Amino acid sequence: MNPSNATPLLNVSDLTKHFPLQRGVFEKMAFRKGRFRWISQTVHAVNGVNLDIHRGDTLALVGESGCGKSTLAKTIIGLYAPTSGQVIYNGQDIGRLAGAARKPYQKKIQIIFQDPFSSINPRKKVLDIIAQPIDVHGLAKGAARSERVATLLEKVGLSADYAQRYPHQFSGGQRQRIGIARALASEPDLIIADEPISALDVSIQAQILNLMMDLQEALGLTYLFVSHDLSVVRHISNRVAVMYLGFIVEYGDTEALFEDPKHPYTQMLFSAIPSLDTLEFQDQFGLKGEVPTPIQLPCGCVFHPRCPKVMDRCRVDHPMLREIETGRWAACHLYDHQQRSNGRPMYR
Amino acid sequence: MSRPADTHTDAKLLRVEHLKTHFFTRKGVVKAVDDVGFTLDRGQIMGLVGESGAGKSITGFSILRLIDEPGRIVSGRILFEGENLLEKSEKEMYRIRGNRIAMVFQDPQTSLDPVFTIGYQIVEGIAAHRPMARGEARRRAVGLLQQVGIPSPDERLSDYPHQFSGGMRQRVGISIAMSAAPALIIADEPSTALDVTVQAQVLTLMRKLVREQDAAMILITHDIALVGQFCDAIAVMYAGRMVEKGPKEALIRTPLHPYTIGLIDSIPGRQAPRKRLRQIRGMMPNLLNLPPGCPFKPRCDRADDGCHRQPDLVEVAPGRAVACWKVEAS
Repeated sequence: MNPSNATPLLNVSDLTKHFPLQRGVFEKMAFRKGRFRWISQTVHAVNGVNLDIHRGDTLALVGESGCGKSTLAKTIIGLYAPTSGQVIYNGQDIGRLAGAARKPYQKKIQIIFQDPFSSINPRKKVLDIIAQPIDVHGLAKGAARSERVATLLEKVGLSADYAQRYPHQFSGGQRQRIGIARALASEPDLIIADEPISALDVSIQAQILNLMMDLQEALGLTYLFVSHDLSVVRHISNRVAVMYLGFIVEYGDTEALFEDPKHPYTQMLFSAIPSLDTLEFQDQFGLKGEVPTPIQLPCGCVFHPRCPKVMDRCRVDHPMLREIETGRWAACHLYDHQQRSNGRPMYR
Repeated sequence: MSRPADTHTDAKLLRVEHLKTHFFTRKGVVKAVDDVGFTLDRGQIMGLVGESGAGKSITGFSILRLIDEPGRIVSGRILFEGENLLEKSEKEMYRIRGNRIAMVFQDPQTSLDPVFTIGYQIVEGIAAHRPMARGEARRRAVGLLQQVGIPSPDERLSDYPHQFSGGMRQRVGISIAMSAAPALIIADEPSTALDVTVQAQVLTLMRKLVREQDAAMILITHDIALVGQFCDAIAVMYAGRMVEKGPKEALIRTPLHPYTIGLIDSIPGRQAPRKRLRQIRGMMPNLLNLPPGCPFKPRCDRADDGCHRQPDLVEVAPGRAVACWKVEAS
């Protein structure tokens, strides 16, 4: 899925993350075929995802809650160990590395969290919060450390004097700036932003987005931007992957994908976004239903129970994510005939 | 404050005048709602937009007189069907709440009681306002659930809230609000906890029910684009005051107040992609420590010395009112 042939900065290959469902002893037992049996259930959060992120790109991961976008982000950064598949950073599989072996990669991939209130320690000074990656990786000590923090604070648009203050003295937008400064402290290449602005007020959101775009330009950062807010995604990203129930259903260049979404789910999702262009909501794509539970995935295409264009084949046959036209991948049987002869399949 | 629509004494469903709801905290007086006024017709949906702390929810709660200590409705009038709600006794208000004016809350998870079945909670709501036999109340509950699009409502009545998805729970919340066929529905961020595809379904349903029953609705939200899709009129609040109101189309296409302009401009997706967004600088001031004069002055590009006096909401065109010295002058 790489239009240019450069090696991607990060490559996610067939990544799967399932969580076993923790339940009580009696709920785990079921009477079947004449005797009690143990049943085990799993949450299928991420199912065989393939993704490339190129240096300098902003790849947006969009989808509704429960579609696995945050799990995918957290698996990439190593907060979860993958059930199967690989996370390849600069040619090295880091998915299963832990402890000291992982440390050099941790430095290069950092994360910005959604909630600026719970993601920074209220008992620490801003200086120590931002300096944590510096301390962990032993990048600077003493005066050099304070100086680095001061530079970072200025980079994110805060005064260097704030280093001695505590988080409660700051507003949500300022705290998110502190979170961004902390993510920048170890000079990463890739920043994973997990819904970085959805907890902020509307007028503050634009400020944080501008800051992120400024930083990308100044520092040559690569972003994996996880969001459910499609207008934000359209603005900030240059590539989009749409997720549904742990699968990527469509992938392509941002402008082209927003102009002409191909997958029925993407069409439904985009039609539901309130926009200021049309001032009377019209349901064009037959909105119905909600995202089903990821415990028991629908068979065939996972979207078929809600799909307005469902065909018989969709109920039994799971569509692969394939290149349907140059630079656009979709997982939908509607485009079976359009499959490019050399279409590179993304799922095995 | 001049309120243009007041000149003719027509039968407005709701008329809020000079409403002031203040909170008397130890740190000082928080003027959460300060001199707010608007009117609402039957069949009309009004969007009340603003950032958190702008006073939009407190305005909604004030109409239902659900303001707790240390807050108090200091002054103003709330004329609902011609009667001033602020002069009603608590007992009279009890009969109005849920019956004539209903509320839909943001989080259906917390507004439903987890230990009672959905059926019990709907029937309880119906029986509270109109005594009737259990069987009949139950039949009504089935009808209500059907109306809000819950499949096999007869069986779902004996389910508990946790067995419903977020969107379905909000539909139950709407059916409870609709159970007494209220004349006014106050919906406080009814779709914020929902996914976009579900949000569109729930709001389409609410709009349909409001139109069918000739009721009116106040939709409280921070999302101005959402309001544009589902409302007839829009009122924008900032720091406890109403800064602009008008018909949807006009307000969104030609916003007049610098705050509304900034709010609409800062929505991504309408500007050149991957370029800096236009932004409103700074943030909303602390309500305990409001700047003198126009509350938006510190963030406003057009502010000058003339803005040290507080502007009133003034009619600038039929149905459109703005609280800004700069607009008035032009």
